[in-house]
Amino acid sequence: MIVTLGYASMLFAFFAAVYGILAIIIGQVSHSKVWLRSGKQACLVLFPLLSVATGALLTLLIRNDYQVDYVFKTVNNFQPLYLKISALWGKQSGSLLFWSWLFSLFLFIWALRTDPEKDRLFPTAAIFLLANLAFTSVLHIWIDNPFVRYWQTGDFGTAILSIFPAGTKIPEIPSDGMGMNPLLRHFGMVYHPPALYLGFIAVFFSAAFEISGLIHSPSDDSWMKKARPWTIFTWIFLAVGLILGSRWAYDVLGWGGYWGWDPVEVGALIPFLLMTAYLHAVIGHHATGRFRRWASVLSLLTYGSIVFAVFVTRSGLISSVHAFSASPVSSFLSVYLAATLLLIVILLLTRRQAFKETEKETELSFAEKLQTKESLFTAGILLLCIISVFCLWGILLPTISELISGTQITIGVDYYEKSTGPLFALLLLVMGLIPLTNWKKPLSRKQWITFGILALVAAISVLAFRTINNLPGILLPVVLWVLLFSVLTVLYAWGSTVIANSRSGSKKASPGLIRFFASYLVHAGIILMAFGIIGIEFLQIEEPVKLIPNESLSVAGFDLTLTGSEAAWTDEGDTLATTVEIHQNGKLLGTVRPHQNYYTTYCQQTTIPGVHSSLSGDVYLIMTGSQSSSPDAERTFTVFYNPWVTWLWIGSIVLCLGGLLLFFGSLRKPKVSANVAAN
Amino acid sequence: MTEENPVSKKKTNWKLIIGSLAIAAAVIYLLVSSTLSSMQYFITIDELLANPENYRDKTVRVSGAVIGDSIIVDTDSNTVVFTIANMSADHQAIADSGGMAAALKAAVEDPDANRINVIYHGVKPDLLKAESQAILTGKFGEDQRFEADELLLKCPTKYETAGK
Repeated sequence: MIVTLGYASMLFAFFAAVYGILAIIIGQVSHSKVWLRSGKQACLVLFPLLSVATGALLTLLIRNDYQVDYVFKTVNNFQPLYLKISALWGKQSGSLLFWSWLFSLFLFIWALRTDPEKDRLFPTAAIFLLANLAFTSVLHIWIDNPFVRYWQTGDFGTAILSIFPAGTKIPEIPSDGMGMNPLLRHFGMVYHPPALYLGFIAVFFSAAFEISGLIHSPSDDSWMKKARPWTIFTWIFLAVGLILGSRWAYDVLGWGGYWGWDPVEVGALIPFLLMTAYLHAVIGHHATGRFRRWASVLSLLTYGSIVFAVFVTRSGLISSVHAFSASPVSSFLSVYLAATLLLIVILLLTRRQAFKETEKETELSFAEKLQTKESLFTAGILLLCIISVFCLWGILLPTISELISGTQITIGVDYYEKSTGPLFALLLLVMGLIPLTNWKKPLSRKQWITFGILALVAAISVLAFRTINNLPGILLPVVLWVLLFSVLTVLYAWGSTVIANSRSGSKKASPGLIRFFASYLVHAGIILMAFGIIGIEFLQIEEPVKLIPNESLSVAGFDLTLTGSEAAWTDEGDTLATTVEIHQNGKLLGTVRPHQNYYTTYCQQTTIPGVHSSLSGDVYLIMTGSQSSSPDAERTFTVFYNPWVTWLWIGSIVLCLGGLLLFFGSLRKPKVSANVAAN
Repeated sequence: MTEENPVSKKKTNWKLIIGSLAIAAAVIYLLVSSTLSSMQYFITIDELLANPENYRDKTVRVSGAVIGDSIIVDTDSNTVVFTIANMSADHQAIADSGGMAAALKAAVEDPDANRINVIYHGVKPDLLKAESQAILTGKFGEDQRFEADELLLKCPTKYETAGK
């Protein structure tokens, strides 16, 4: 009954999407308002329909209905409720349905606020969005359906997979499910995938405005304003998704790191970088009237990179640790990616005229031009694009080399670190320089002096810090100088704006001013994150140790004492938890509990680290190897000391807060705020 | 660094051209040098054993099916020793043989499949177990043993396609 309901509403949703496309085309061709309105109704009805389908799958998961293949493979009798809910996106077919559902929710919100008769961008945008939704519906209806059930065949031990009764028509109902893959059993599973999906899906909406704008009125760039809340929304959720994924990896996967440069991760990083570049192009356009070409092209590229990221994750054709497996969905996704790229190329070629800069360039000498804010924005955008290309190269090289030479050439983590590391450092420098510059004007004498003072203060502080802490090498102090310099310029910009604002005597903060502070909050977040990343990348200590019960051992300046071990048997396997006290200079800092869980159904062991965090760094312990269950046995661990890494998470929170502030600011009808844009 | 060409002046801006070329050269150098320094050949065990001299001092990537009984963990020296059996690297061939789980099982059970011994210095990863796919990065030594610097594992359960 629930299966039929879910399946039927997915089918209805698909046909509603197809109907919507046809209705809008007819309305457009025959200039019929009735048909256009009908098309809008189709956009609205998809959300309730897909909600029923999603609700049906969720009900099956919560009720442990193991006759359904999807439920059998993602849930078991002992799984807590939050993992049953997150099982909705635990495997390919369910996550496709979840994707469609989120997409329909956005479509609903958008269509509700749009008047199809007045908004010229509506018809094409709606056709584009409905087509994308119809495509994913095809995948989870006909290619990989989450509602297929087991039916007995008559032969013992075999079953047929079908949505409707098949074989002997007697349901085959396993008594317990397999449960979710143990590595996914974490609270991170609840929020990491949905956050990324939200970011990914919002891109389709900003792309819809641009594509529609380019087709109907190429000279008009009002799409940029319409797309603004969607682009900021995308940006925040891509950031949140990436950060939550890193935190999850840090907490669960037990390799002491937060970022592994896996193709799927890199695939999600590229749209984030391009979206960052796009947002800056829009700011530049707003302030100078230029950057139109950058904004138009970057918006399309971001959209393309999102579809590429979906392809990398879901097709299984790019080898990765956390991609879905290769499946019948792969070939459809290849076609989808090709169609998307084709659309982008056609738009870029046929609408070339729309990308021309309309504003004249300022009459400045070459040296003067280099000092303007525009130049630095261009430099930053270029850097983000180059990093994206390097990332793309890293993902594609194995496939390209196999096509050309027959032997697959792969590149590892060090490729990404070596190639993008210097560029990220440069980007940080550009970010630090921007607050000191002006739009359309070279630096004034006063700004040069400020620049000199800040650079000097940063240099002296870093030298002092280096001597006190005995930091190794030259590279680290240089990177720290760049970082500190950026901190100082951001503080300077902040301070000078506050002073200027209090002098002008306005009591109420204007929306422009709020936007200004929000954007600096985002940049402050990035600087803090960079500090954490520098700490773990340059100064991480890793040491294997063996701890004997109640004997203390010194590692990286900390004294570790194993005070207890506890083995326990659970419904799904067994666990071994140890308690380790961490002392420094005779003072107890804290107690951590690294543990190992063994899952019988998956024959798999997971290692959960014990982490003691402080602002100066984390002590991170992982139990290693096979361990005896005896409480008095000695234990082996790998101990990591990750200096400054806490700042990565603090910076992430600051960045998200700034992003949220920007998003709510963008929802208001903006008044021109030239005075603040001039900063 | 600006990339807009001041056409209005109708004069070739050499500073801009030279600057852009220098930047382009630096970017290409960065890409090529970091690619070359971290590039590895991804080969099968058959390919490695057919021509071991070719790959003697190079870092290569090899994938194979883990033989469950062969896994020995030495916690004193923090090393893991195990054996892997050859399997095809071709997606299509794997799909034709009934999926990854079946391909791994066949590779482990095939007595004629080429095998190599592997030594890995480090913690035994959770996913290292019978019939998982191991992707090793390292060097093949004169003693016919593969010294793995990096060990990636894929669990066959992840390869099951939901709702066939």
